Amino acid sequence: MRHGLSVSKRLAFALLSSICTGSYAADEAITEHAYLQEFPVVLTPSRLAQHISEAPNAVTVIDRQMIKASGFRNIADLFRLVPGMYVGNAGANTPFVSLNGVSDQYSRRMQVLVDGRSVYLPPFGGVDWQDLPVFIDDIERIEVVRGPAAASHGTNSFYGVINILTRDAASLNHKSVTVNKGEMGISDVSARLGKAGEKFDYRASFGFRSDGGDNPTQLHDTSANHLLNLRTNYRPLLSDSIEFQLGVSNGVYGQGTLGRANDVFRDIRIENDFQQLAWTHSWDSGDESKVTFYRINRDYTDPYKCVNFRACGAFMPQGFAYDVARSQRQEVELQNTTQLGASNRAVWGAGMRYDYANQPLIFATSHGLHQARVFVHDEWRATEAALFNVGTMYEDDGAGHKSTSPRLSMNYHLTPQHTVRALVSTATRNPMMAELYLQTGGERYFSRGYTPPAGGLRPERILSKEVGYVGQFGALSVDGRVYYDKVSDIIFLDAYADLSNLAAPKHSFKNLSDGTFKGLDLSASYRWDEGRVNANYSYQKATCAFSSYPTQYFNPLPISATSTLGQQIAQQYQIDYLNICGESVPTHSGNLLLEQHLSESVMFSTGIYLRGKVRVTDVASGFPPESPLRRVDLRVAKSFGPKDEAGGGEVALIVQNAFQDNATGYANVPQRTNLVFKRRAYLTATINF
Amino acid sequence: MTGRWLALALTLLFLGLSPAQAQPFRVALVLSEGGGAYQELSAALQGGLSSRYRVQVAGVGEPLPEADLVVAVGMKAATAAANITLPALNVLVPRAGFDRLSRPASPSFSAIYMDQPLERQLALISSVLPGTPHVGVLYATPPVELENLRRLSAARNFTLYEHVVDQRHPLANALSNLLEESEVLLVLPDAQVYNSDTIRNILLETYRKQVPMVGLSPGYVRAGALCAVYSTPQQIAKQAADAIEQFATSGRLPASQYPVEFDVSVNTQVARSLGLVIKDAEKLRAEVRRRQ
Repeated sequence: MRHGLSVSKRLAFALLSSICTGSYAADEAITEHAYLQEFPVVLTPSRLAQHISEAPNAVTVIDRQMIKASGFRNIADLFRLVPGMYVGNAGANTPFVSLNGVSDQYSRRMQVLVDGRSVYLPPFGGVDWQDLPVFIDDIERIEVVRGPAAASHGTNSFYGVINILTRDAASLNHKSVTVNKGEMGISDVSARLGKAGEKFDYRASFGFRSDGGDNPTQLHDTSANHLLNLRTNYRPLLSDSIEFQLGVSNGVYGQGTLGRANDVFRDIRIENDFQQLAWTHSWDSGDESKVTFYRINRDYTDPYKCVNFRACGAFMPQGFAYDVARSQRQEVELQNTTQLGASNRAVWGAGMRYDYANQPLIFATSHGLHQARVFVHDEWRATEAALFNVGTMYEDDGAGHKSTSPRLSMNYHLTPQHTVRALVSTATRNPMMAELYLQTGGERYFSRGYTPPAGGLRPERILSKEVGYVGQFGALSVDGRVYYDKVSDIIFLDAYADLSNLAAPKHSFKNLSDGTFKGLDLSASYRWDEGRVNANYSYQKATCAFSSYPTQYFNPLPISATSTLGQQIAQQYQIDYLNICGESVPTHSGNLLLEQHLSESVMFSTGIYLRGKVRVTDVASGFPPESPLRRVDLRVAKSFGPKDEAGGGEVALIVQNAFQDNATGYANVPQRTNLVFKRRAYLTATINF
Repeated sequence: MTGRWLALALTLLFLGLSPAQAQPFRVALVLSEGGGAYQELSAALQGGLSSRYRVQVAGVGEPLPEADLVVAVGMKAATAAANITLPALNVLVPRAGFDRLSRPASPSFSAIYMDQPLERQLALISSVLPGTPHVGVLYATPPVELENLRRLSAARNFTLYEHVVDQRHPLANALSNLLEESEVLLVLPDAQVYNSDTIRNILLETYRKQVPMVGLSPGYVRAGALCAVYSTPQQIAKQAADAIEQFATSGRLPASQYPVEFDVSVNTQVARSLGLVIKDAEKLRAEVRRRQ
């Protein structure tokens, strides 16, 4: 009833304003309606993010301005700006990102959201950053939650959450073209256009990105892809908004290592696309409900996957096969934001997801999982100074695992500018399809073969405790935390799981050990009229231990006069798993991003990235860890013409690794051990019309 | 016997002393529209005037009741009142609208503006934001008080940024550019810029840029503005009643004036989300009163 009334009032007003055009419009501008008009509630409780001092977890925000100032071309690189976050490259076109320890190149212990769409995909559970159908220039802001946050961010919010928010459909009201051109084959072109209207907004971007890789002679790590991204918003009524998004990325990515017969130079094709529809309704009470549906499809084709190491070594065609993988996700979610009295605000809802993967080389059959979850999160302002965030998620992973992940935090404002926070949070990581169902004969994926886990796998669990502080000293903001995370039942690829053939023990995924990750993060940001600086430091320590010893430890078979097989295996476990776990985080790391206006139109920025040595867990003990990193990036930009309007634009020069730091990267084979990220420069120009 | 004479004498004396009782002061209350603020003001004004005044209510276009004074509520009624010769007090009219009427202001044609004085709005900004913020304003039509706004902002050491919305500078661009340099967006009464079709994108953009909006009314605050200073129809009615009484006794209306009484409204959820620590509405009102 009330809805009907508001519609007719709105129509009447629209009619009135459409009559009042031309010279009459000036008169319309000065009636009392400017004061009396009724508006919809725009900044609804669900739109209003918790301020960093009231959020349950530690959060790092990377905003549009920082993205620009960083000079990064790839989304994954942006996470270098987050304290303690690791960004690795298994080749220039295969970046991976993780928080905490024991990650490998399939880094799969984080929730990664793009506008609410969960983009880590089966069967391995990682994110393929290079083929996400999202332009870095279309990102409005990224919130990185450092710590488990299942109650608010859903499934797999285990080590943390990357929450990417792209620019609103109404954020663009002109056309522009951006060109990047530089060393190492950097060559990107993108065009965008958009319009903000009274009831309908859209923005569209399309383009082509390519680069020649980091070490073109030793690695074939080129990439070239076409992207399209569209976002629209339609508001039929004041109370309702319908948003549609779609994206496609279609590309060719080099793969191969010089001198490795089982990793020949070849081109991999990946097509990744999504469609997303969301309907938001604001109730008269100010509460809000949102229904979101999306689907993601990713097709991967490797035309020359080595499936028989000996045959590959002899360059025999039967050594190679097509490796075709299809990953799909469909999800529907209902989320409600409800104001419960003056001091409680609840977010609650449910989601259902269908994950599908088919990859004949690693699965005997295609697999689909129907997953479901319900969640509730309440923000309770007990007193003016004390705020509690209480919430939980219950999930069923569709593979026989049901779990509950509660979270409780208290934020206490000592004064309005100084807040202390205490948090206890839990999360579950359900085994990914590859871990559950891998069934691969011969040497298709592992040189020594694979045997499925005996007795299945249990989900990993994390219990995180932290104490934090958020403070404001005038223009200086400070944020710090100490944390102690206990992770149980970590799933590793166990190289000694099946010792039935001692000459070739088979691999198997296994809940192998427990881990303890503790550390300290410090962040500070300072602003002045002409610039700002963001700085982060992180101290981390990781240790792993077996909760129960693998039975192989006790194998009494003597293999020499002084030792048994069990003793040797125990030593191998120590070297290959427990020691590597300790090396899987850098003890010290930090970063700094400085932005300074040199004049009205000239902007200088520099990013400094420091990290101690680190070894992700699929770099075996026989290879060196990544050496300490000291990288400096520089950017100078000159803007011209009217900003964001026809005739305006910007030209910038970016130099990455300006002082040629020769830190070595991820190397899991001998041919990669001395590869470095070379200094490179590129120019970027944007013109609006 | 004596008692009857006394009663008669007292009655005559009473009648003689209050001639108005026999001839009430007639007010014609002309409403631009029915319902809402117009109705609230009408009710409050009728309740606020003594029985000496006889108030008759009419709509614009209806026959005007015989009256000693017209009280025109809203611009439509004020435009009608400008075309007759009867003395008229105009309320619920923005200053810019009133100044444009064909009839010049005089002791028999005056207004209680709907707008708040700029000093008061700037005082509110001083009370909710620390230091001397960069204040942004957007308009399609240059506001009448633009010079005054520049002067008063400078007096408070605020840096004022102005952006014009026109064909060459569509709203989205003008707003986006303005918010790059502003720390607070001060809404000016310009319905071409701020209306129910544009408010969504404006508020979303301000929130994205983490720039609070200072609105014009509680409606803005409900929608997502940080705060607003405004006068309720009841407060304006009270001031109008005083002006009517002054006219009834002196035959002259007070000069056009801004509302004296005002309220402040605050959106605490928006404040919290922006990390702003602000006082409650009542304390802010007292502070604005002190600072303006």
